[in-house]
Amino acid sequence: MNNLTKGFFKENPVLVLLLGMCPSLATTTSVTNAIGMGLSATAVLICSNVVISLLRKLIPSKVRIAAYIVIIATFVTIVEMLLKAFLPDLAESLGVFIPLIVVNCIILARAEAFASKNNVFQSFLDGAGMGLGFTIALCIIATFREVLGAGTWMGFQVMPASYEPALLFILPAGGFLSLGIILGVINLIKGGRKNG
Amino acid sequence: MGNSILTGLLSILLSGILTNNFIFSRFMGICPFLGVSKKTSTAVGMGMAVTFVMTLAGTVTYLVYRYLLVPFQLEYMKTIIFIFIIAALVQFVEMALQKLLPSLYTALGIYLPLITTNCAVLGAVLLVTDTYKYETLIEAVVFNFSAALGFTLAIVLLAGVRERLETAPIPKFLKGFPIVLISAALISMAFVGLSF
Amino acid sequence: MKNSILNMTLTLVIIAVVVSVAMSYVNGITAPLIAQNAAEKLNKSLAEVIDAKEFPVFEETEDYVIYEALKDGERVGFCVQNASSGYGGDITLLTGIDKDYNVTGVALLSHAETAGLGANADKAEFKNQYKGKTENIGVVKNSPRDNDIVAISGATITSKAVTNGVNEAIRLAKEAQINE
Repeated sequence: MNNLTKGFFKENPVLVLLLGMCPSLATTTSVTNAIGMGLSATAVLICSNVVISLLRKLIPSKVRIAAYIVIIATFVTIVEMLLKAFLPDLAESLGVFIPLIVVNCIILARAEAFASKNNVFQSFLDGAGMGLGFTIALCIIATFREVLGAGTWMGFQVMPASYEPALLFILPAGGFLSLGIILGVINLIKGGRKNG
Repeated sequence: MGNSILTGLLSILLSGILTNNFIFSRFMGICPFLGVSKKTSTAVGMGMAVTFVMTLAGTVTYLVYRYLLVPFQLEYMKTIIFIFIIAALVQFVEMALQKLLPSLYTALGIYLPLITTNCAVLGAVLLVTDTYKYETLIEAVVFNFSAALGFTLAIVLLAGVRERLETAPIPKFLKGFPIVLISAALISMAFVGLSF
Repeated sequence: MKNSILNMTLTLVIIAVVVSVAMSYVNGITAPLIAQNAAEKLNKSLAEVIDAKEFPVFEETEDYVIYEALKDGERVGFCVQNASSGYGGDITLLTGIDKDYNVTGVALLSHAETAGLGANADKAEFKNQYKGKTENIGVVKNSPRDNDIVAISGATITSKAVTNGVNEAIRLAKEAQINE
């Protein structure tokens, strides 16, 4: 059970392990995009973790990274095709970042660090936990950026009409800034806990 | 006629480096961006390695896409084929560096094989196939080359800033990634300002 | 034995074959759906930019497509689909043009402009500016004359790109009608 929940907070891939930065900055201009990206990556992560765990005793170690990449790329391509067919608007918003899930450090890292050494069920939980943790982190960043940068949350107006959106947060610079502030705040919380 | 081709290429070059900088505008290549840039000299070396890989990858992937995938209607295989080509090229560069520039090879360490998972490399070659702007081989190659130069510019700039920050008084909770991200935000704002 | 060349090659080949089959299978299912989505989106946009029911293709080249706009069997104008160089890449435009070469509507089929800035070109308030304008539309920052549109503040490049595309569309429609 710990394998499932560790990805949420203690070992959150984005906010603690600092993996998966590219999509964390690029797809967090709106919470809808963030959820879409997060769940797509989670789907790939779960599938690849399960398959790699199933095959872990059969893949020769010298070619394992190449094999993992091929397996991950296949699931990414399949997810991309399904999104384009059934959720075309989301596919267009996320654009090139869907195929870029292939090089999302999180997926390869979990394949190497966990799925290649553990059984299928635990790998499934690890994938699900890390994927959901990734999604949660993206939502946190996206909430910060969308509310401050556009006054909306998932498209719904949440700030009072008089609020002048701080456009900066929707722009690339705002992405860096938001993540930097959030990480700084997390450090503050961690430091506070240590000092009692 | 020749004049407009040249100005076309020049605008691709400038846009890749400045106005559509892969890191500051497109958010591709963040992981190595945050990881390598502690010393300017390492950053330059990394930049050169990435430039070489990206230019070569841009050429090979364009040819494979145009003359192999499209005629056989296998466009959906592009993600998996491209990442395969990139992985092979990186392997090749690794072996070449180990023989020819062993000091750079050791300095880059794990970040050299990680060029394979650099979003900018896969991102650039995919973008060439997505938009219709880069139709000829030379346009595709210039696009990848300028993307790589933009990446190099970004990491060298950030390395310079980080070197200065080493000795600056920064509150503890901002030390490490938060201050790097905030610095990146400031540089990004400057780059966006260049466009209008 | 596990790391022998034979074993390594065999494993990779088997994986390659399996994934190719899997992807090809999913592609077979999804490709028609994806094409359908694109067609539906196009039809929706065509009806959006001009008041007509049928849109047979009138002329098609690598750079543009001209659709005839028919209402009750009679031509009411053209819809021109073309691309213009924007800030983040090509912007694919669809412009509805009536028989007097006035713009009836503009739609952005695809773009890669900056969210919050150039991307606002896809909003009704910007696109509606083009309605009723005729050839050689100008772009100004304020005080628009009759045939001008006001650029989006902070997105001059995008605004100019869309305008260039629309002007080109009007030119193409005019040529098509004259050369008939």
